[in-house]
Amino acid sequence: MREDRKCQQEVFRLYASKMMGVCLRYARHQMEAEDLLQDAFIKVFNNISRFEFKGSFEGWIRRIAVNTALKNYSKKSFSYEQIGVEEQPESAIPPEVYAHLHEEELLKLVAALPDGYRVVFNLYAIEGYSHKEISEMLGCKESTSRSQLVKARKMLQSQILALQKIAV
Amino acid sequence: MSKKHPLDDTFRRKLRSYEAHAPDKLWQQIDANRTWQQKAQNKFRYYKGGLAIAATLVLALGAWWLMPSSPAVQLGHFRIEPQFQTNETAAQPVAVIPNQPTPIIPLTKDKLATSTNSILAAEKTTTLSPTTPSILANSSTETAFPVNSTAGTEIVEEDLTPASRMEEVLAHKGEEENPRFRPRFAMMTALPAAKAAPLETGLFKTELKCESFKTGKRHWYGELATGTTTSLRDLQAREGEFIPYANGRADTETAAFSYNTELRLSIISPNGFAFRTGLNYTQLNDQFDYYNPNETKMTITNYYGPNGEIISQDTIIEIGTREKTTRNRFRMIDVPLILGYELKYDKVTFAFNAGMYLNLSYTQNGDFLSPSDQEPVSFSSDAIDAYPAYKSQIGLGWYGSIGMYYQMNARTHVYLEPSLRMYTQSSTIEEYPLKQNYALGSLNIGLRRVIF
Repeated sequence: MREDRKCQQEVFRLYASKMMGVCLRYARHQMEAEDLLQDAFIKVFNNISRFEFKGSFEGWIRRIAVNTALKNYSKKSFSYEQIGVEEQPESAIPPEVYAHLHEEELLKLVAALPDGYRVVFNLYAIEGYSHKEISEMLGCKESTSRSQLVKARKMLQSQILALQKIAV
Repeated sequence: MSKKHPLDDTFRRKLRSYEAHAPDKLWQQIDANRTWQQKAQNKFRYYKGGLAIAATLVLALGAWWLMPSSPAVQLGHFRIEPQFQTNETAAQPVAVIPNQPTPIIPLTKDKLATSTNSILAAEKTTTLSPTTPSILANSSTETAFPVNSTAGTEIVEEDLTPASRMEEVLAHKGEEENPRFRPRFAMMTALPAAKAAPLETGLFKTELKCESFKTGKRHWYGELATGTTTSLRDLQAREGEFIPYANGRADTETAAFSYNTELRLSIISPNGFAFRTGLNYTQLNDQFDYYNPNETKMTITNYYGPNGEIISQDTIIEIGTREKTTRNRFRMIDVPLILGYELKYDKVTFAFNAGMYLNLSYTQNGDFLSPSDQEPVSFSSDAIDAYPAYKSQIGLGWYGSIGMYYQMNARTHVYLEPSLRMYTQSSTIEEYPLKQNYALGSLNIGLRRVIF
């Protein structure tokens, strides 16, 4: 398959849209997501022989896409991302406020998060990794992962509230 | 986990399986990249074959060059003319007659060639009795000669060298029947060398002397060494306008601990010449430190209406300090092709080596300042969006070293080897505005062991 162009194209056709959804969650904008997706599929095709058929093929591709995004994040991370964010008001808003939001709206909210928050929130809330696993993947402390998650939630809630106010 | 928090749960439920359209152009770009990579792989495969052939040729030439001359035994001092071989009369078995006076056979005990030693030694030490036939009478040539058969009488040896004995025989050519010389003629008939080649005489007379046998042989050693490497990097701007950039890179990159590991095969000839080859892995490390107290970051936040349309947008400009520290790694795999000479003093051996290193692979990982905006950018060879700066191979490097070996036991040495390696080519591509040349100093400690 590694040398078979048609097979590769078929794999791309089957999984591109799913992986594009993953990449959009980690990227800041559409162009970055496309770049991530392209890198991820090149890695998939180059390492296809390493797939051991122990899990689902889709899960394996998803893992590659996530790792590609993490690598991209580590290269472009800023050390001053927390500037001004601590002052964000904490507001425990009821779930029904955001339950009606569409996928695209949620995606845009996630995309607006700073890099560090977005990555940790994606890994913890959506992918389901533990803080320990995240700390190993990102090379940071567990406490950092926890604080990034808390701040990401705060920021998301404040953005949702802002949306609500605008809607009202 | 995420189920404990309603916000996480909502996002997970709606985004976990979210799908989005991937533009068709992406496949075309992936396909183009795939084709490029395959071409690169094919190119490497092509060079790999050539490299293997070149390495084999060099090995074969080195082995041939180091091969010592054959240590074959030369029995020059006992070559006899064919006409001196046993004639009919001499070949007749001679009965041993007790108490018959017989000339004493002159023999010497030393300076005899290997193939004659057994015969002469037997002749020398045997105490003959009337019932004991001559040793040579039982030889395969069935040649016999009278010996002193007096019981208890030992053969007396004259102090003659093989050369003088040969000259004596040649002087009495034609006197094969003379009882004094008959044993000598008969004995010479039995020697293989007598049949092998005629005796050169006159101008081509062979100098009658003993062969000095070569006892040495080639030694094959396996050598494993590792040690620190110091990189003396030379950054030069290709054009004058890039000198500030070169200075900027020099200011932001600091050499860190680097090392190399080498596995070598050494072939040492008996005369001390050596040929060494194998594989060397070198990892050069440095640290990239970037500090900008006035870094600007812009975040655009969109606000959406009930129908998902953007109704407002906030642009947040954050000014802060940006610090970035990256540990850069440059990995090299080389094939050393080294000629050397070894001098041995008791348990200590000094080796003087010179040759070249053929670089097979040069990969990089890390960040440096971008030539375009002086911002940190990746130059990693495995990153697709990396700044294209470095080559994947950097050609040949000249090499010199002095090795000091200490023999621990018959098969094992421990050694210390300071070395210097200089690559003539720049490690950067032509399009990159700086040339980056390496001179590497290493101090290795290693073990070598006789393989066979």
